[in-house]
Amino acid sequence: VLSIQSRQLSWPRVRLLGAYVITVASAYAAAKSVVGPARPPIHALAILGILLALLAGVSATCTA
Amino acid sequence: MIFVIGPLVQGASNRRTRFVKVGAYISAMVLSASVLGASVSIIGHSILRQVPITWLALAVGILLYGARELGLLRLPLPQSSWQVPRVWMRLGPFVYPLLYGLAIGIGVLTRAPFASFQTMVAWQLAMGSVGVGAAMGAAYAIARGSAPLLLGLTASDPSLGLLRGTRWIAERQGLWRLANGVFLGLLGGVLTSIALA
Repeated sequence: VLSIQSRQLSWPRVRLLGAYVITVASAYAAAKSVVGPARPPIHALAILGILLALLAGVSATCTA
Repeated sequence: MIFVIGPLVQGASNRRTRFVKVGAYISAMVLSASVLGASVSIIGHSILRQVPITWLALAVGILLYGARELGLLRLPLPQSSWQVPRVWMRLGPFVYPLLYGLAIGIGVLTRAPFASFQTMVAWQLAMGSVGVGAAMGAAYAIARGSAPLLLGLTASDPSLGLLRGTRWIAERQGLWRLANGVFLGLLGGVLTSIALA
């Protein structure tokens, strides 16, 4: 079911993919420098979860 | 598009009635979303607690669905096509906001076209913490109910402002899809780092 869309090779799509990869890599590097080798406390995961829930809630307003 | 929030304020004779109806809707939504979050977390706690790659698998899933939100991938998004029945409106001015809130707060019963919702449920499952699961559910419901309210309160006519606020959010699906894609990308990157630590 997973497939890359057929118009994948257009220049805007390549740029978007590049921007996405840079975003992910930046978040990974930033988290790695903050967290270090130790596992983060449960509070960090909880705060990320709450932020995710807030975004999900606002986005869901579109279907109301 | 049928706005759920519209009937809550239209036809209400006074400000107090509107306030009670909207309050009942949001309270019921917070209750059901919290109960669902706690329930999912209990299931996650009993099933996934001993699975070491849970967070890494979730990180990979988040990255894939972030790419989906940006239109880079085609992935199925599990969701229901059920809509809250209109006949519930005949059940009385204070009963239907409660029923609407309870049904919509559960989330999985109705449409969920943005991947942040499914990701949230998966996060609750992976966390396996009843308290965090319930808090995430409450945050989801408060954001869903309060976003148009906050926009509405800035208008001179709160009822009209509430509808306009809801419409303002609903007409910007592209913006929310972009926000979902970027946020899931960031979240996936952070979670990958955490999972590999």
